[in-house]
Amino acid sequence: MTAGALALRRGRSLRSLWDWRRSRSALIPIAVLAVLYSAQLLAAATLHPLYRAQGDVPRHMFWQGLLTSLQLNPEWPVKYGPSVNNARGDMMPEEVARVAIMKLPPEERQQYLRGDGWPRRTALEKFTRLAFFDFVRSDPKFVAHTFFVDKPKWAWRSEYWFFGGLFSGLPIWNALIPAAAVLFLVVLVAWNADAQAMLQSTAGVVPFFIVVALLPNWLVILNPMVMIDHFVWTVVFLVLLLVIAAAAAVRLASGAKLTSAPVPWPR
Amino acid sequence: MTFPSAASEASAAVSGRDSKARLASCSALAVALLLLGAMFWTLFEKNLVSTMTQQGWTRELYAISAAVTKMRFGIGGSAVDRRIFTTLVVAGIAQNPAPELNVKFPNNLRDVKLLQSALQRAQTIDLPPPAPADAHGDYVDLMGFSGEDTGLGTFHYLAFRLFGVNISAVTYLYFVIVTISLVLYGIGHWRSVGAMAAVVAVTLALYVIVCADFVNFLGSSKLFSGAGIDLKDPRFLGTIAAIPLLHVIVMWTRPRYRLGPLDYVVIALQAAIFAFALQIRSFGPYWRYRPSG
Repeated sequence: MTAGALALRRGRSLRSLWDWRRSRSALIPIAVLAVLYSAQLLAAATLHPLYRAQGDVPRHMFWQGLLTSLQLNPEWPVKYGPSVNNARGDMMPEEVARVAIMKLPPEERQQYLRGDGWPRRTALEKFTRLAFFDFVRSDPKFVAHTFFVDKPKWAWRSEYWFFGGLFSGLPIWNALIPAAAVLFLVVLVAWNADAQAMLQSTAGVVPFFIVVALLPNWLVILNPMVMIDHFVWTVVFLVLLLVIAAAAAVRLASGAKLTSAPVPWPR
Repeated sequence: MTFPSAASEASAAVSGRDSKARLASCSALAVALLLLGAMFWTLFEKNLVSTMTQQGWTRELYAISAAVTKMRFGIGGSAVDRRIFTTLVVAGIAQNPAPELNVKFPNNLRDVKLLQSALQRAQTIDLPPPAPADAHGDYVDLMGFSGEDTGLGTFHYLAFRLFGVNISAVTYLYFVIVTISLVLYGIGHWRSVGAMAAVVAVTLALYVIVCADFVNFLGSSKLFSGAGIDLKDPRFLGTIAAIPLLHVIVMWTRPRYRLGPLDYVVIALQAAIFAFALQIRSFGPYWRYRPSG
Protein backbone atom coordinates (compact mmCIF):
# COMPACT_ATOMS: atom_id res chain seq x y z
CA MET A 1 0.00 0.00 0.00
CA THR A 2 2.90 2.33 0.84
CA ALA A 3 4.49 1.55 -2.50
CA GLY A 4 1.20 2.31 -4.21
CA ALA A 5 0.77 5.60 -2.37
CA LEU A 6 4.32 6.66 -3.22
CA ALA A 7 3.86 5.74 -6.87
CA LEU A 8 0.66 7.77 -7.09
CA ARG A 9 2.26 10.72 -5.28
CA ARG A 10 5.07 10.75 -7.82
CA GLY A 11 2.56 10.71 -10.63
CA ARG A 12 3.54 7.18 -11.71
CA SER A 13 1.21 4.51 -12.87
CA LEU A 14 0.30 1.72 -10.46
CA ARG A 15 1.11 -0.65 -13.30
CA SER A 16 4.80 -0.33 -12.44
CA LEU A 17 4.06 -2.07 -9.14
CA TRP A 18 3.37 -5.25 -11.09
CA ASP A 19 6.71 -5.10 -12.92
CA TRP A 20 8.33 -8.19 -11.41
CA ARG A 21 11.83 -6.84 -12.16
CA ARG A 22 11.41 -3.76 -9.94
CA SER A 23 12.76 -4.00 -6.39
CA ARG A 24 9.59 -2.24 -5.18
CA SER A 25 7.33 -4.58 -7.07
CA ALA A 26 4.13 -5.55 -5.24
CA LEU A 27 5.06 -9.16 -6.03
CA ILE A 28 7.76 -9.08 -3.35
CA PRO A 29 5.40 -8.51 -0.37
CA ILE A 30 2.95 -10.92 -2.00
CA ALA A 31 5.67 -13.59 -2.19
CA VAL A 32 6.68 -12.98 1.44
CA LEU A 33 3.07 -13.07 2.68
CA ALA A 34 2.37 -16.22 0.66
CA VAL A 35 5.25 -18.02 2.37
CA LEU A 36 4.19 -16.77 5.83
CA TYR A 37 0.57 -17.77 5.25
CA SER A 38 1.59 -21.20 3.93
CA ALA A 39 3.71 -21.76 7.04
CA GLN A 40 0.73 -20.86 9.23
CA LEU A 41 -1.51 -23.24 7.30
CA LEU A 42 1.08 -26.00 7.61
CA ALA A 43 1.36 -25.45 11.37
CA ALA A 44 -2.42 -25.55 11.74
CA ALA A 45 -2.83 -28.61 9.53
CA THR A 46 -0.14 -30.63 11.29
CA LEU A 47 -1.12 -29.72 14.84
CA HIS A 48 -1.91 -32.82 16.89
CA PRO A 49 -5.65 -33.30 17.66
CA LEU A 50 -4.84 -33.49 21.39
CA TYR A 51 -4.83 -29.67 21.44
CA ARG A 52 -8.52 -29.61 20.63
CA ALA A 53 -9.28 -32.55 22.92
CA GLN A 54 -7.52 -31.00 25.92
CA GLY A 55 -8.55 -27.38 25.32
CA ASP A 56 -4.92 -26.36 24.86
CA VAL A 57 -3.73 -23.61 22.52
CA PRO A 58 -0.61 -23.78 20.34
CA ARG A 59 0.43 -20.17 20.98
CA HIS A 60 0.98 -17.57 23.65
CA MET A 61 -2.22 -16.32 25.13
CA PHE A 62 -2.89 -12.68 24.41
CA TRP A 63 -5.51 -11.73 26.99
CA GLN A 64 -3.75 -13.60 29.77
CA GLY A 65 -0.63 -11.54 29.02
CA LEU A 66 -2.59 -8.30 28.92
CA LEU A 67 -4.20 -9.02 32.29
CA THR A 68 -0.87 -10.11 33.81
CA SER A 69 0.67 -6.80 32.76
CA LEU A 70 -1.68 -4.83 35.03
CA GLN A 71 0.56 -5.99 37.88
CA LEU A 72 3.20 -3.56 36.60
CA ASN A 73 1.13 -0.83 38.20
CA PRO A 74 2.67 -0.32 41.68
CA GLU A 75 -0.84 0.09 43.17
CA TRP A 76 -1.88 -3.42 42.07
CA PRO A 77 -0.99 -5.34 45.28
CA VAL A 78 -2.95 -2.97 47.54
CA LYS A 79 -5.83 -2.20 45.24
CA TYR A 80 -6.53 -5.55 43.57
CA GLY A 81 -4.24 -8.12 45.20
CA PRO A 82 -6.85 -9.35 47.72
CA SER A 83 -9.49 -9.76 44.97
CA VAL A 84 -7.26 -12.41 43.32
CA ASN A 85 -6.29 -14.07 46.63
CA ASN A 86 -2.93 -12.27 46.34
CA ALA A 87 -1.87 -14.54 43.49
CA ARG A 88 1.11 -13.02 41.71
CA GLY A 89 2.89 -13.26 38.37
CA ASP A 90 1.62 -15.87 35.92
CA MET A 91 -0.60 -17.37 38.62
CA MET A 92 -2.76 -14.26 38.82
CA PRO A 93 -4.70 -14.82 35.56
CA GLU A 94 -5.14 -18.50 36.45
CA GLU A 95 -6.65 -17.43 39.75
CA VAL A 96 -8.89 -14.86 38.04
CA ALA A 97 -10.19 -17.55 35.67
CA ARG A 98 -10.60 -20.08 38.47
CA VAL A 99 -12.60 -17.61 40.59
CA ALA A 100 -14.81 -16.74 37.61
CA ILE A 101 -15.44 -20.40 36.82
CA MET A 102 -16.32 -21.16 40.45
CA LYS A 103 -19.02 -18.47 40.28
CA LEU A 104 -20.77 -20.42 37.50
CA PRO A 105 -23.49 -23.02 38.22
CA PRO A 106 -21.81 -26.41 38.94
CA GLU A 107 -23.12 -28.02 35.75
CA GLU A 108 -21.39 -25.32 33.62
CA ARG A 109 -18.02 -25.50 35.32
CA GLN A 110 -16.71 -28.80 33.99
CA GLN A 111 -16.43 -27.66 30.37
CA TYR A 112 -13.83 -25.09 31.46
CA LEU A 113 -11.74 -27.29 33.74
CA ARG A 114 -8.97 -29.78 33.10
CA GLY A 115 -8.70 -33.11 34.86
CA ASP A 116 -6.50 -31.55 37.56
CA GLY A 117 -9.14 -28.91 38.37
CA TRP A 118 -7.29 -25.98 36.81
CA PRO A 119 -8.79 -23.96 33.92
CA ARG A 120 -8.26 -25.17 30.37
CA ARG A 121 -6.14 -22.82 28.23
CA THR A 122 -9.16 -21.88 26.13
CA ALA A 123 -11.10 -21.05 29.30
CA LEU A 124 -8.16 -19.06 30.61
CA GLU A 125 -8.15 -16.95 27.47
CA LYS A 126 -11.92 -16.40 27.66
CA PHE A 127 -12.11 -15.42 31.33
CA THR A 128 -8.98 -13.25 31.33
CA ARG A 129 -10.41 -11.33 28.37
CA LEU A 130 -13.62 -10.74 30.28
CA ALA A 131 -11.68 -9.75 33.40
CA PHE A 132 -9.46 -7.33 31.47
CA PHE A 133 -12.48 -5.52 30.02
CA ASP A 134 -14.03 -5.45 33.50
CA PHE A 135 -10.96 -3.57 34.67
CA VAL A 136 -11.14 -1.21 31.68
CA ARG A 137 -14.78 -0.42 32.48
CA SER A 138 -14.53 -0.18 36.24
CA ASP A 139 -11.14 1.53 36.59
CA PRO A 140 -10.04 3.07 33.28
CA LYS A 141 -7.66 5.44 35.05
CA PHE A 142 -5.76 2.51 36.58
CA VAL A 143 -5.48 0.73 33.22
CA ALA A 144 -4.45 3.91 31.39
CA HIS A 145 -1.82 4.65 34.05
CA THR A 146 -0.43 1.12 33.66
CA PHE A 147 -0.16 1.35 29.88
CA PHE A 148 0.93 4.96 29.46
CA VAL A 149 2.95 5.68 32.57
CA ASP A 150 4.15 2.47 34.23
CA LYS A 151 4.92 0.45 31.11
CA PRO A 152 6.97 3.21 29.44
CA LYS A 153 8.89 3.46 32.73
CA TRP A 154 9.56 -0.29 32.61
CA ALA A 155 10.63 -0.02 28.96
CA TRP A 156 13.04 2.77 29.83
CA ARG A 157 14.40 0.82 32.79
CA SER A 158 14.96 -2.21 30.54
CA GLU A 159 16.89 -0.07 28.04
CA TYR A 160 19.01 1.21 30.91
CA TRP A 161 19.68 -2.33 32.15
CA PHE A 162 20.59 -3.51 28.67
CA PHE A 163 22.99 -0.73 27.76
CA GLY A 164 24.32 -0.35 31.30
CA GLY A 165 25.13 -4.05 31.61
CA LEU A 166 26.85 -4.53 28.25
CA PHE A 167 30.19 -6.41 28.37
CA SER A 168 29.91 -6.76 32.13
CA GLY A 169 32.17 -9.55 33.40
CA LEU A 170 33.64 -10.20 29.93
CA PRO A 171 37.27 -9.84 28.81
CA ILE A 172 38.28 -6.57 27.17
CA TRP A 173 38.42 -8.09 23.67
CA ASN A 174 34.65 -8.47 23.73
CA ALA A 175 34.28 -4.70 23.97
CA LEU A 176 36.96 -4.05 21.33
CA ILE A 177 35.21 -6.14 18.68
CA PRO A 178 32.30 -3.69 18.15
CA ALA A 179 34.77 -0.79 17.96
CA ALA A 180 36.78 -2.63 15.29
CA ALA A 181 33.61 -3.52 13.36
CA VAL A 182 32.38 0.08 13.42
CA LEU A 183 35.82 1.28 12.24
CA PHE A 184 35.66 -1.20 9.36
CA LEU A 185 32.19 0.06 8.41
CA VAL A 186 33.31 3.70 8.53
CA VAL A 187 36.21 2.98 6.15
CA LEU A 188 33.91 0.96 3.87
CA VAL A 189 31.22 3.64 3.73
CA ALA A 190 33.52 6.67 3.63
CA TRP A 191 35.11 5.19 0.52
CA ASN A 192 31.78 4.62 -1.22
CA ALA A 193 29.22 7.44 -1.30
CA ASP A 194 26.55 5.17 -2.77
CA ALA A 195 26.92 2.97 0.29
CA GLN A 196 26.35 6.00 2.48
CA ALA A 197 23.14 6.89 0.63
CA MET A 198 22.01 3.29 0.92
CA LEU A 199 22.65 3.20 4.66
CA GLN A 200 20.79 6.50 5.12
CA SER A 201 17.72 5.01 3.44
CA THR A 202 17.99 1.86 5.55
CA ALA A 203 18.46 3.85 8.76
CA GLY A 204 15.29 5.77 7.87
CA VAL A 205 13.23 2.56 7.94
CA VAL A 206 14.77 0.91 11.00
CA PRO A 207 12.91 3.08 13.62
CA PHE A 208 9.68 1.52 12.37
CA PHE A 209 11.03 -1.92 13.27
CA ILE A 210 12.24 -0.66 16.65
CA VAL A 211 8.68 0.40 17.46
CA VAL A 212 7.02 -2.69 15.97
CA ALA A 213 9.37 -4.97 17.94
CA LEU A 214 8.46 -3.13 21.14
CA LEU A 215 4.70 -3.22 20.59
CA PRO A 216 4.04 -6.81 21.80
CA ASN A 217 6.23 -6.13 24.84
CA TRP A 218 4.35 -2.93 25.62
CA LEU A 219 1.04 -4.77 25.40
CA VAL A 220 2.06 -7.73 27.52
CA ILE A 221 5.22 -7.50 29.58
CA LEU A 222 8.38 -5.42 29.67
CA ASN A 223 11.76 -6.64 30.82
CA PRO A 224 15.12 -6.87 29.05
CA MET A 225 14.77 -10.61 28.37
CA VAL A 226 11.62 -10.26 26.28
CA MET A 227 12.84 -7.16 24.44
CA ILE A 228 15.65 -8.78 22.45
CA ASP A 229 14.18 -8.05 19.01
CA HIS A 230 13.72 -4.43 20.03
CA PHE A 231 17.33 -4.24 21.22
CA VAL A 232 18.63 -5.76 17.98
CA TRP A 233 16.99 -3.04 15.88
CA THR A 234 17.96 -0.31 18.34
CA VAL A 235 21.63 -1.34 18.13
CA VAL A 236 21.40 -1.60 14.32
CA PHE A 237 19.99 1.93 14.22
CA LEU A 238 22.67 3.34 16.52
CA VAL A 239 25.46 1.62 14.57
CA LEU A 240 24.10 2.92 11.27
CA LEU A 241 23.83 6.47 12.64
CA LEU A 242 27.36 6.32 13.99
CA VAL A 243 28.76 4.96 10.74
CA ILE A 244 26.87 7.46 8.58
CA ALA A 245 28.01 10.41 10.72
CA ALA A 246 31.64 9.24 10.97
CA ALA A 247 31.86 8.40 7.26
CA ALA A 248 30.43 11.81 6.34
CA ALA A 249 32.96 13.48 8.62
CA VAL A 250 35.82 11.49 7.04
CA ARG A 251 34.70 12.43 3.55
CA LEU A 252 34.35 16.08 4.49
CA ALA A 253 37.75 16.09 6.14
CA SER A 254 39.38 14.46 3.14
CA GLY A 255 37.73 16.96 0.81
CA ALA A 256 35.92 14.30 -1.17
CA LYS A 257 32.62 15.05 -2.78
CA LEU A 258 29.65 13.82 -0.83
CA THR A 259 27.96 12.73 -4.00
CA SER A 260 29.71 10.16 -6.09
CA ALA A 261 30.15 9.96 -9.84
CA PRO A 262 27.27 8.05 -11.35
CA VAL A 263 28.05 4.38 -11.44
CA PRO A 264 25.96 2.11 -13.65
CA TRP A 265 23.94 -0.26 -11.56
CA PRO A 266 24.56 -3.89 -12.30
CA ARG A 267 21.76 -5.84 -13.99
CA MET B 1 51.36 3.29 -30.66
CA THR B 2 47.71 3.00 -29.75
CA PHE B 3 45.69 5.02 -27.30
CA PRO B 4 42.67 3.68 -25.45
CA SER B 5 39.43 5.27 -26.49
CA ALA B 6 37.42 7.40 -24.08
CA ALA B 7 34.76 4.68 -23.98
CA SER B 8 37.25 1.96 -23.10
CA GLU B 9 38.80 4.23 -20.45
CA ALA B 10 35.39 4.80 -18.92
CA SER B 11 34.68 1.08 -19.14
CA ALA B 12 38.00 0.29 -17.45
CA ALA B 13 37.20 2.83 -14.72
CA VAL B 14 33.78 1.29 -14.20
CA SER B 15 35.19 -2.23 -14.16
CA GLY B 16 37.87 -1.09 -11.69
CA ARG B 17 35.18 0.36 -9.44
CA ASP B 18 33.18 -2.85 -9.85
CA SER B 19 36.07 -5.04 -8.75
CA LYS B 20 36.70 -2.72 -5.77
CA ALA B 21 33.02 -2.93 -4.88
CA ARG B 22 33.22 -6.74 -5.07
CA LEU B 23 36.24 -6.74 -2.80
CA ALA B 24 34.43 -4.44 -0.36
CA SER B 25 31.34 -6.66 -0.38
CA CYS B 26 33.41 -9.80 0.18
CA SER B 27 35.22 -8.08 3.07
CA ALA B 28 31.86 -7.10 4.59
CA LEU B 29 30.61 -10.70 4.31
CA ALA B 30 33.83 -11.93 5.94
CA VAL B 31 33.45 -9.43 8.81
CA ALA B 32 29.81 -10.48 9.31
CA LEU B 33 30.91 -14.12 9.53
CA LEU B 34 33.68 -13.17 11.96
CA LEU B 35 31.11 -11.40 14.14
CA LEU B 36 28.99 -14.57 14.20
CA GLY B 37 32.15 -16.46 15.17
CA ALA B 38 32.82 -13.98 17.99
CA MET B 39 29.21 -14.39 19.12
CA PHE B 40 29.65 -18.16 19.22
CA TRP B 41 32.90 -17.83 21.17
CA THR B 42 31.28 -15.49 23.70
CA LEU B 43 28.57 -18.08 24.36
CA PHE B 44 31.33 -20.59 25.19
CA GLU B 45 32.97 -17.98 27.44
CA LYS B 46 29.70 -17.64 29.32
CA ASN B 47 29.23 -21.43 29.42
CA LEU B 48 25.84 -21.15 27.73
CA VAL B 49 26.22 -23.71 24.94
CA SER B 50 25.73 -27.08 26.61
CA THR B 51 23.84 -25.87 29.69
CA MET B 52 20.40 -24.45 30.46
CA THR B 53 19.29 -21.26 32.18
CA GLN B 54 16.73 -20.70 34.91
CA GLN B 55 14.56 -18.53 32.67
CA GLY B 56 14.35 -20.98 29.79
CA TRP B 57 14.70 -24.51 31.14
CA THR B 58 10.97 -25.29 31.43
CA ARG B 59 10.32 -24.28 27.82
CA GLU B 60 13.28 -26.38 26.74
CA LEU B 61 11.98 -29.31 28.77
CA TYR B 62 8.75 -29.24 26.75
CA ALA B 63 10.69 -28.77 23.50
CA ILE B 64 13.11 -31.64 24.19
CA SER B 65 10.21 -33.90 25.17
CA ALA B 66 8.33 -33.02 21.96
CA ALA B 67 11.44 -33.60 19.84
CA VAL B 68 12.18 -36.99 21.44
CA THR B 69 8.48 -37.93 21.10
CA LYS B 70 8.72 -37.23 17.39
CA MET B 71 12.03 -39.06 17.04
CA ARG B 72 10.94 -42.17 18.91
CA PHE B 73 7.30 -42.54 17.91
CA GLY B 74 6.96 -40.32 14.84
CA ILE B 75 4.27 -38.28 16.61
CA GLY B 76 4.62 -34.61 15.66
CA GLY B 77 2.25 -31.67 15.72
CA SER B 78 3.75 -30.33 18.98
CA ALA B 79 2.63 -33.34 20.99
CA VAL B 80 4.59 -34.13 24.14
CA ASP B 81 4.74 -37.68 25.51
CA ARG B 82 4.10 -37.33 29.24
CA ARG B 83 6.25 -40.38 30.01
CA ILE B 84 9.26 -38.91 28.20
CA PHE B 85 8.63 -35.59 29.94
CA THR B 86 8.54 -37.37 33.31
CA THR B 87 11.71 -39.35 32.46
CA LEU B 88 13.58 -36.10 31.85
CA VAL B 89 12.27 -34.64 35.11
CA VAL B 90 13.19 -37.73 37.12
CA ALA B 91 16.63 -37.74 35.47
CA GLY B 92 17.32 -34.27 36.85
CA ILE B 93 15.88 -31.59 34.56
CA ALA B 94 13.66 -30.39 37.36
CA GLN B 95 13.04 -27.73 39.97
CA ASN B 96 13.61 -30.29 42.71
CA PRO B 97 16.05 -32.94 41.48
CA ALA B 98 15.93 -36.29 43.30
CA PRO B 99 18.30 -36.42 46.33
CA GLU B 100 20.22 -39.40 44.88
CA LEU B 101 21.38 -37.19 42.01
CA ASN B 102 23.42 -35.16 44.54
CA VAL B 103 22.75 -31.88 42.81
CA LYS B 104 20.48 -29.00 43.69
CA PHE B 105 18.56 -26.53 41.57
CA PRO B 106 19.82 -24.51 39.70
CA ASN B 107 23.19 -26.26 39.60
CA ASN B 108 21.55 -29.21 37.82
CA LEU B 109 21.01 -26.91 34.82
CA ARG B 110 24.77 -26.38 34.54
CA ASP B 111 25.67 -30.03 35.04
CA VAL B 112 26.51 -31.09 31.49
CA LYS B 113 26.89 -34.78 32.36
CA LEU B 114 23.55 -34.88 34.15
CA LEU B 115 21.77 -33.15 31.26
CA GLN B 116 23.28 -35.51 28.69
CA SER B 117 22.43 -38.53 30.80
CA ALA B 118 18.82 -37.29 31.09
CA LEU B 119 18.58 -36.95 27.31
CA GLN B 120 20.07 -40.42 26.92
CA ARG B 121 17.48 -41.89 29.29
CA ALA B 122 14.62 -40.21 27.47
CA GLN B 123 15.87 -41.74 24.22
CA THR B 124 16.43 -45.24 25.49
CA ILE B 125 13.86 -45.87 28.22
CA ASP B 126 11.66 -48.82 27.31
CA LEU B 127 8.24 -47.43 26.40
CA PRO B 128 5.45 -48.66 24.16
CA PRO B 129 4.00 -46.13 21.71
CA PRO B 130 1.54 -43.67 23.33
CA ALA B 131 -2.02 -44.89 23.59
CA PRO B 132 -4.38 -43.63 20.86
CA ALA B 133 -7.40 -41.48 21.70
CA ASP B 134 -9.72 -43.11 24.23
CA ALA B 135 -13.52 -43.30 24.05
CA HIS B 136 -13.76 -39.64 25.16
CA GLY B 137 -11.34 -38.58 22.44
CA ASP B 138 -8.61 -37.85 24.96
CA TYR B 139 -4.94 -38.82 24.69
CA VAL B 140 -3.85 -39.99 28.12
CA ASP B 141 -0.13 -40.30 27.27
CA LEU B 142 0.15 -37.01 25.40
CA MET B 143 -0.04 -33.35 26.30
CA GLY B 144 0.46 -29.98 24.59
CA PHE B 145 2.84 -27.10 25.26
CA SER B 146 0.37 -25.37 27.63
CA GLY B 147 0.37 -22.11 25.74
CA GLU B 148 4.12 -21.95 25.34
CA ASP B 149 6.37 -21.77 22.30
CA THR B 150 5.37 -24.79 20.19
CA GLY B 151 7.88 -24.00 17.44
CA LEU B 152 10.66 -24.63 19.92
CA GLY B 153 9.85 -28.34 19.65
CA THR B 154 10.40 -28.23 15.87
CA PHE B 155 13.65 -26.34 16.40
CA HIS B 156 14.90 -28.99 18.84
CA TYR B 157 13.83 -31.80 16.54
CA LEU B 158 15.80 -30.33 13.63
CA ALA B 159 18.78 -29.65 15.89
CA PHE B 160 18.79 -33.21 17.25
CA ARG B 161 18.49 -34.66 13.75
CA LEU B 162 21.42 -32.58 12.51
CA PHE B 163 23.78 -32.64 15.49
CA GLY B 164 22.64 -35.53 17.65
CA VAL B 165 20.60 -35.47 20.84
CA ASN B 166 22.53 -33.02 23.02
CA ILE B 167 21.86 -29.59 24.48
CA SER B 168 24.55 -27.89 22.31
CA ALA B 169 22.73 -28.93 19.12
CA VAL B 170 20.24 -26.07 19.52
CA THR B 171 23.00 -23.46 19.57
CA TYR B 172 24.66 -25.05 16.54
CA LEU B 173 21.41 -25.01 14.58
CA TYR B 174 20.90 -21.32 15.38
CA PHE B 175 24.26 -20.51 13.82
CA VAL B 176 23.59 -22.75 10.82
CA ILE B 177 20.31 -20.91 10.15
CA VAL B 178 21.81 -17.44 10.62
CA THR B 179 24.74 -18.34 8.38
CA ILE B 180 22.38 -19.65 5.68
CA SER B 181 20.39 -16.43 6.00
CA LEU B 182 23.59 -14.40 5.68
CA VAL B 183 24.67 -16.30 2.57
CA LEU B 184 21.21 -15.79 1.02
CA TYR B 185 21.52 -12.10 1.81
CA GLY B 186 24.93 -12.08 0.13
CA ILE B 187 23.48 -13.76 -2.97
CA GLY B 188 20.80 -11.07 -3.18
CA HIS B 189 22.82 -8.00 -2.32
CA TRP B 190 26.52 -8.66 -2.86
CA ARG B 191 26.72 -6.01 -5.59
CA SER B 192 25.75 -3.23 -3.17
CA VAL B 193 28.45 -2.19 -0.71
CA GLY B 194 25.87 -0.31 1.36
CA ALA B 195 23.66 -3.38 1.62
CA MET B 196 26.61 -5.50 2.75
CA ALA B 197 27.54 -2.82 5.30
CA ALA B 198 23.98 -2.97 6.65
CA VAL B 199 24.20 -6.72 7.26
CA VAL B 200 27.45 -6.18 9.18
CA ALA B 201 25.47 -3.79 11.41
CA VAL B 202 22.88 -6.54 12.06
CA THR B 203 25.46 -9.22 12.91
CA LEU B 204 27.19 -6.66 15.13
CA ALA B 205 23.87 -6.08 16.91
CA LEU B 206 23.44 -9.84 17.44
CA TYR B 207 26.94 -10.00 18.87
CA VAL B 208 26.22 -7.06 21.20
CA ILE B 209 23.05 -8.77 22.48
CA VAL B 210 25.10 -11.85 23.43
CA CYS B 211 27.40 -9.53 25.38
CA ALA B 212 24.45 -8.20 27.41
CA ASP B 213 24.44 -8.89 31.10
CA PHE B 214 21.10 -10.72 31.12
CA VAL B 215 22.34 -13.22 28.52
CA ASN B 216 23.95 -15.29 31.23
CA PHE B 217 23.17 -17.87 33.87
CA LEU B 218 23.17 -15.09 36.45
CA GLY B 219 23.57 -11.39 35.75
CA SER B 220 26.87 -10.11 37.08
CA SER B 221 26.40 -6.34 37.17
CA LYS B 222 24.80 -4.02 39.71
CA LEU B 223 21.95 -3.40 37.30
CA PHE B 224 21.00 -7.01 36.68
CA SER B 225 21.83 -9.79 39.07
CA GLY B 226 18.89 -12.14 38.54
CA ALA B 227 18.50 -15.30 36.47
CA GLY B 228 19.22 -14.66 32.81
CA ILE B 229 18.55 -16.32 29.46
CA ASP B 230 20.69 -17.87 26.75
CA LEU B 231 20.55 -18.22 23.00
CA LYS B 232 18.41 -21.37 23.27
CA ASP B 233 15.56 -19.36 24.78
CA PRO B 234 12.78 -18.77 22.24
CA ARG B 235 12.98 -15.07 23.02
CA PHE B 236 16.50 -15.11 21.60
CA LEU B 237 15.91 -17.65 18.82
CA GLY B 238 13.47 -15.17 17.27
CA THR B 239 16.50 -13.16 16.12
CA ILE B 240 16.93 -15.61 13.22
CA ALA B 241 14.39 -13.28 11.57
CA ALA B 242 16.71 -10.24 11.69
CA ILE B 243 18.67 -10.86 8.47
CA PRO B 244 15.59 -11.95 6.44
CA LEU B 245 13.85 -8.73 7.51
CA LEU B 246 16.90 -6.66 6.59
CA HIS B 247 16.91 -8.41 3.22
CA VAL B 248 13.44 -7.08 2.48
CA ILE B 249 14.20 -3.61 3.89
CA VAL B 250 17.32 -3.29 1.76
CA MET B 251 15.50 -4.49 -1.34
CA TRP B 252 13.01 -1.70 -0.72
CA THR B 253 15.78 0.90 -0.33
CA ARG B 254 17.50 -0.11 -3.58
CA PRO B 255 14.97 1.27 -6.09
CA ARG B 256 17.30 0.98 -9.09
CA TYR B 257 17.99 -2.69 -8.46
CA ARG B 258 16.51 -4.99 -11.12
CA LEU B 259 15.28 -8.30 -9.80
CA GLY B 260 15.85 -11.69 -11.41
CA PRO B 261 14.24 -15.09 -10.77
CA LEU B 262 17.04 -15.93 -8.31
CA ASP B 263 16.02 -12.93 -6.18
CA TYR B 264 12.52 -14.37 -5.81
CA VAL B 265 13.92 -17.75 -4.77
CA VAL B 266 16.16 -16.05 -2.21
CA ILE B 267 13.28 -13.92 -0.88
CA ALA B 268 11.09 -17.02 -0.53
CA LEU B 269 13.81 -18.80 1.46
CA GLN B 270 14.34 -15.76 3.69
CA ALA B 271 10.57 -15.57 4.22
CA ALA B 272 10.63 -19.25 5.23
CA ILE B 273 13.24 -18.46 7.90
CA PHE B 274 11.09 -15.54 9.05
CA ALA B 275 8.05 -17.84 9.22
CA PHE B 276 10.03 -20.30 11.31
CA ALA B 277 10.96 -17.48 13.71
CA LEU B 278 7.27 -16.61 14.04
CA GLN B 279 6.44 -20.23 14.76
CA ILE B 280 9.18 -20.43 17.39
CA ARG B 281 7.60 -17.46 19.14
CA SER B 282 4.21 -19.17 18.86
CA PHE B 283 2.63 -16.69 16.56
CA GLY B 284 0.48 -19.70 15.94
CA PRO B 285 -2.60 -20.68 14.01
CA TYR B 286 -5.09 -18.37 15.69
CA TRP B 287 -8.09 -18.97 13.53
CA ARG B 288 -8.33 -22.67 14.22
CA TYR B 289 -8.09 -22.60 17.97
CA ARG B 290 -10.21 -19.70 19.02
CA PRO B 291 -11.29 -20.08 22.62
CA SER B 292 -14.68 -21.68 22.71
CA GLY B 293 -17.43 -21.82 25.26
